[in-house]
Amino acid sequence: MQTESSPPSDEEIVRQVLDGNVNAFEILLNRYKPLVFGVARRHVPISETEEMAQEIVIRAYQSLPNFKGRGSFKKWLSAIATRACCDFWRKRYRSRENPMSSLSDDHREWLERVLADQSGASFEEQTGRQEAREVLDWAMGHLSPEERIIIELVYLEGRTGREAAEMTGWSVANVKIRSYRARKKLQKLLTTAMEAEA
Amino acid sequence: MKPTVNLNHPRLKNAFRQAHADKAAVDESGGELAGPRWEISVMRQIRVLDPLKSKPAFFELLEPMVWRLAPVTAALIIALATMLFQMNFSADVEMTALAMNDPVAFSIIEPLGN
Repeated sequence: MQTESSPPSDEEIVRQVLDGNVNAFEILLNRYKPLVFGVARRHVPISETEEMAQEIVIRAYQSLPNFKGRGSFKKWLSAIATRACCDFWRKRYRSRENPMSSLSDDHREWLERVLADQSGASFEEQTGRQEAREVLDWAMGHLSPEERIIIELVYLEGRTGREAAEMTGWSVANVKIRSYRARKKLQKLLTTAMEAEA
Repeated sequence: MKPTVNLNHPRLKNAFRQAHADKAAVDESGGELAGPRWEISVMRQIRVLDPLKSKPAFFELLEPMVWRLAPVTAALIIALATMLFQMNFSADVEMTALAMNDPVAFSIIEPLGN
C-alpha cells in the first residue's frame, strides 16, 4: 500500500523517460525546478535566468542516457547546470565587443571603507550590498568563464574542492589550482583598481 | 602607502558572499518567473526533440578513455623519440640520404670500404 502511494524515485522516472515516456520527465522538471533556477540565478545575470534554466533542463534531458544512477540525480543535475552556466559565459565573452570600464570612484571608496573597517556594525547595510554586488560584477567581468565559476563556487558559496570538482567535472587538484590562481587574479584586479585612484 | 586588497578580509568576504547569495535569494520571491507557462514551453521543446538513445554509441563509450589515456600516449611518444635518438637515428638518415643521392656508387663502394 505504502509503495503504491510513494512518489517514484528519480531513477525510476529516468528509466521511464528512456523507455519512451517523455511525459514522465515533467515530474523531474517540477521536482528540480527550484534547484535549476537557483543555480542559474547565482551564475548568470538575472535577465538571462529563465532562458538559462530552460537550456539546463533541455541539456539534462538530452544527457539522461549518460545518467548511470551511481550518484544522486540532484548532484548530476547540479553539475550539468553549473557547466551550462560556464558555457553561457564562454559564449558571452566571445560576443563581447567593448572592454569593460574601470571601477567608479564610489566603488573605490566603498572598497576602501570596507577594508579600513572603520564603520560600525550597521554600516550602510543596503547601499553596501548594492555596491558590493556592483564591485563583484565588475571584477567577475574581468575573469575568464572558468575563473568566474570557480570563484563563485569556492570563494562565494564556500564549497569544498571536492564539491566544486563534482560540479565542474574537473579534478580536485585542478579545482584547487584554478581556485588559487583565480583568487590571486581577483585580488590583483581589485588592488590595481584601488591603486588607480591612490 | 599602496592599498592592497585581501580577499580574506572578513568584511569584504562577507559583503561579497552576501551580494552573491542575494542573487539566488531573489528566487524565493520570483516564483512567477518560473510559472506554468515556462514549464509548458520547456516540455513542448522536449517533446519535439529526437527520442533518447538509452544505449550510447560505441565511440561515445570510448570518449572518456581518450583523455585518460592521453598522458600515457604522450609519455610513450617521448620514450619512443628518446629511444630513436639514442639509436643514432640521425646517422641512419644520413646514410639514407647518401644512398638516395648516388644509389649505384653507394651500393658498390660503401660496403667495400672505399
